[in-house]
Amino acid sequence: MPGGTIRAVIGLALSAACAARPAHPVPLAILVDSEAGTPARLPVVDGLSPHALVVPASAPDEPDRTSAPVSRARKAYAEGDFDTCRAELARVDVAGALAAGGRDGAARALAFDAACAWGGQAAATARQLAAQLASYGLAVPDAAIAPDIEAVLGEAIVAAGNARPHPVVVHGAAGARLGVDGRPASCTLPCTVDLVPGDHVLAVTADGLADAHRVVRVPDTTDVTLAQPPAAPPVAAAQWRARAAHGLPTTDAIGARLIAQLGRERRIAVLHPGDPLTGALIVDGALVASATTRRGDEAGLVRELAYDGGILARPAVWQRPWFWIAISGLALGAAGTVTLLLYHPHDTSLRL
Amino acid sequence: MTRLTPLWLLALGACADHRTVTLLFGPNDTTLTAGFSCRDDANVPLIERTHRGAMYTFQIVIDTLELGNTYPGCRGEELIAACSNGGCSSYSRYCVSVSIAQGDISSPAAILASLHAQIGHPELIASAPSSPIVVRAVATEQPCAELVPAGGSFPRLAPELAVGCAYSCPVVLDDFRGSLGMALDTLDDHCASQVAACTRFSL
Repeated sequence: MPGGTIRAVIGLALSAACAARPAHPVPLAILVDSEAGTPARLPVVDGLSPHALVVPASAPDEPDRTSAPVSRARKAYAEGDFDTCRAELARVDVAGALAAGGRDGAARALAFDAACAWGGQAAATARQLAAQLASYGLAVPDAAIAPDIEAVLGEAIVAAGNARPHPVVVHGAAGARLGVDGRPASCTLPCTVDLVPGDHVLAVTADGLADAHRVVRVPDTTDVTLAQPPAAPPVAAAQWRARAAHGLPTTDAIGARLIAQLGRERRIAVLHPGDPLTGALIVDGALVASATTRRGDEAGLVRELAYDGGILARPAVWQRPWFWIAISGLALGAAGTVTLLLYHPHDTSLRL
Repeated sequence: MTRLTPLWLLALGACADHRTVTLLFGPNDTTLTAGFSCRDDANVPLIERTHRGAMYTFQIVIDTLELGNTYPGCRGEELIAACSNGGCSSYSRYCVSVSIAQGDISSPAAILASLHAQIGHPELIASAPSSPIVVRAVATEQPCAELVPAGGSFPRLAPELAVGCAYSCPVVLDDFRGSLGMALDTLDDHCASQVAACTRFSL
């Protein structure tokens, strides 16, 4: 056999033993689900271009925008400066405070607002604010207000308690948790709540979506839809961390969506350090693969995830090293057997 | 290299050294051993027993005896001793009927030419064993049909029907070079008893 042909045959055999690789390395973000947060060393896998993904800082808690104006309004009320009192309380977003669960602050704001309106001879406004406090289901705060306005507030609360509730159907993102008037979530969307006449704050929260709230008036409103935009990365990070803090899986379907949102990456491999080492692959916000391997074999784990998730083409059987090892072993055994059966150093015949 | 190893082994297997050893009825290819010219006590050549009309008709039986682990010398008593304890076994047998014209019977060269003209140069052993062997040729009146091996058993030759016999020295054919000659251990042509003993040998 000519030397060129032998080289060609050997070259083909060697190339057959190599797995197909993409034309360009595929970018893959690596997120280590641990205290450290970032991998000490990125795994090296043919066909992949890994880079570390750092979880962004969680969005800070909403600042308290109620206490300070209420304190100043209380002081102005005590001094008889009702205009200043109401001006301060106008800064308070009562609906926002209720949506965030701040029922005490909202109650104080509405009570002082009603007291200042009453003191400023705006009785109708005072009664309207009292009715609002009552429809929200708030209690009269333990604060120094005039007995007459306290009586007005009490009458409004009694009236609200005697009113007949009306059903309101709430739509929105399926599974979003609905809270009414700052109370803890009572149902998941879509759902129907019974509300007494008056104003109410409907607030919804859902993993992967920004919080949203809306003030509705009952019985004018019987059907309402609350839209929620996608959560920004810091919000998604906070939601992901909160799930982990509650012991929920970090890479289930919801966790995967949150990771995709917080990372803003198409392909993310999440590694859970430990023994064994486990991992998950998230592509376009969906969990597409999970795998387990021995501790320390990050590259092997990422490779398996990439194969299972379709990022890399898993090599055909004949492209894997063990296949050729097995074939060589079988061929060697067969050749040895044939040789033992047929090979004679001197094969001699006898003729007449 | 690992992937090519089986190919090398196959190639090695294909490169076995194949040789052929030629068996002679005498010391060379034109001479007939005295074992086929023996006379009886009445001084009559044993071959005369096969004389029918103008032809001498008899069977040539060529046995290959495998000696196993022993490698005795050429002398008859050494072979008898080596095979006395069942250390020898028949390896192959070739039997053919031949007829020699009356005019050729007194010429060894003519007899050999006639033999080869009738039977050619048949292959007696396709692949020799690695142990020592002895090849024995017997001229006999016994028909081949009685001597066909069956079930691994080789029927005995009848000494009283033998009219000639010769045997080779023990050899390992794989190590042997040249042609393998046969002879009968006798000092004159009154060797009927040696023919009978040669025929009886080992079987």
